[in-house]
Amino acid sequence: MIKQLIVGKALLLAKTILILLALLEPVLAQAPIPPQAPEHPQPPQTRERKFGRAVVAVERPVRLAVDNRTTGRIKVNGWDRDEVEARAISERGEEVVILAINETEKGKLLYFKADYADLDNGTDPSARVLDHPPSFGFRTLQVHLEVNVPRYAEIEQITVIRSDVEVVGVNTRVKVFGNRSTVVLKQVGSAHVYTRTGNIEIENTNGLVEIATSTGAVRVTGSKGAARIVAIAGPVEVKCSRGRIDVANTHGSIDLMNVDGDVDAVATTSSVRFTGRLGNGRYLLKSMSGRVEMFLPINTAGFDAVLSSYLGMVETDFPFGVVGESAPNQSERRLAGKFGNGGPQITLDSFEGLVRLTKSQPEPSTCK
Amino acid sequence: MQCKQAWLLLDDYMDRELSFETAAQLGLHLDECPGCAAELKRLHAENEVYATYERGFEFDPALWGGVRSRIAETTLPKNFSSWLIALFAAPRISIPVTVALVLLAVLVTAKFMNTANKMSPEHAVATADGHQLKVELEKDFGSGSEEKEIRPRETMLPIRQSTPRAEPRRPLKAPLKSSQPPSPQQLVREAEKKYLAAIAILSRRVAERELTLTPEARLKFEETLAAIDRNIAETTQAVRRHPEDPMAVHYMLTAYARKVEVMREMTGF
Repeated sequence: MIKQLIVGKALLLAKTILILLALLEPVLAQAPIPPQAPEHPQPPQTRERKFGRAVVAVERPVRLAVDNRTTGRIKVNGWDRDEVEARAISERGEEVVILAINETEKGKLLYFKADYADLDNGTDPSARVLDHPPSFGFRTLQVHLEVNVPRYAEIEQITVIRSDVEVVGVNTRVKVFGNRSTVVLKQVGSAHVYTRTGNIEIENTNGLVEIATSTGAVRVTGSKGAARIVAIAGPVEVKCSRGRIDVANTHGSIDLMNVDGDVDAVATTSSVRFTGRLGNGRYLLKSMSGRVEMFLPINTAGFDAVLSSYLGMVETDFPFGVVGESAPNQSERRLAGKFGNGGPQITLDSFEGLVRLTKSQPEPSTCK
Repeated sequence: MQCKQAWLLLDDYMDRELSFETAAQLGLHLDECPGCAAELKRLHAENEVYATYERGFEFDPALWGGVRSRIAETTLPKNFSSWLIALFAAPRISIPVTVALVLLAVLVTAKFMNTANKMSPEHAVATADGHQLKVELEKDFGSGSEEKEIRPRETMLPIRQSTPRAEPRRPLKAPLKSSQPPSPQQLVREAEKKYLAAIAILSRRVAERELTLTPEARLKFEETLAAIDRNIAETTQAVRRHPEDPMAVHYMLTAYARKVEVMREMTGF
């Protein structure tokens, strides 16, 4: 009896183990997948490798694509010549430029990419593609790509992960996707930038500026067109801008200085601040829980304003006829009225933060 | 190679920027270290998400209309039983993974129980005497309890726990670590809470004010809020799927802001 019981138990145990093994078999059989590095964008058609630099004569229209095998920076500089020159450099000196040229219906498409040179090969360092980066002390060797292009060159979207990007002096649209990259665009036609954590600096653009970032800091200076900026946690600063400004920020501050166009700046948990002279437009500054402040020169001629805060304080240095103060039993503080002869429309609002309209000494404008 | 060194090199390894020797060393370490291998996998996943990320940047004014129509098209299951049947009709997870998850759950529970039993008396007293937020905001809605009612300004103040011993403790609201900046998700969640707190405050006033409205005005107001709520629900889903997408976050918070704005209009002016 006991023997039968033991045999029975043993059979049951064996059966259970077999079932478990059968169930786990696909997992056990699966070999660990080796990590693979992400592929870089494929270059168009044939390509050649040039040691040090590559020069191509071009004419309108011409398009340009740039890339980097490493996380070195990519720099594009506009110049007044009908040729494109690309250089690859590192701390070792000259490296390899990969060049590909495609004739398309829209003109020439030039593709440049920086790569490591094989400096052990004395006769032709560009001949061999290195599977792995060459040793350079204990550090990672970064190869930087620097390209000079005609100002009219159209630049394809630049997509990078860690490479910093700088584009200066081209009259066309520049679009950059950079995960952790710092992106600097100066004197470009229009700027469209997305980063996750990388900082963004835009200076003196002629056209539209569109920026979206998760936690990168944003600075826009001297844009002549409209600017639309959306951020989650990075501080946003806009200075000396002439076009309409739309800014939305969740947690980072919004700081606007000497902005001429209409303004729509909305923050959630952070502050919004405007400093400078008023144009003739509309100014809407709003925050959910942060403070909202506007600093106007003491000699400001006039404006129409609505200042409100549901739970916070409302303060103004400018005496203006209050026509819409909330009822005493309301918790909402609200001041509305006209200062001087009226003019630009100001709306400052916060749900629980301070709202303040302040007189400030006019400072000489630093805008060029 | 140690994990500390490996972590410093993972980015470069992924970008194929390590020398052959270093890459080989790291490769050996990764074969033996599941933690570092998992981190590498996470970095890959992050980059893949980023690499496939495309955004038009357009601030589409028709967005809300689209959101509304899509919500209208969404139909709920006819009844709970059919929903339940549908849920279990097809396996969501393969059997080996399920077995592994069950084993993992058993181990984690055992570990947790072990740790809980070992908690020192000093620690227990210290936590029981600590300050605690009165309520988690999400738990307040629909409770109707006076104890849990949100009050302006007071809600955020810490209060001393009234029953420190016998009742199971609610978890303390985790303070943001000063050494590590809060993640975008945390910040967005904080922002959402701000709006939810504001909406809760305004709701009471709206309820008082509604009594004085004509039925037509009340209906219109409720329809407006319902439409905004649908937008909030839709955009919140988008944010949950892409928590670091600034545009998704922007749309969601704009919907919340709109709700606060409408309610304020309703209460004050």
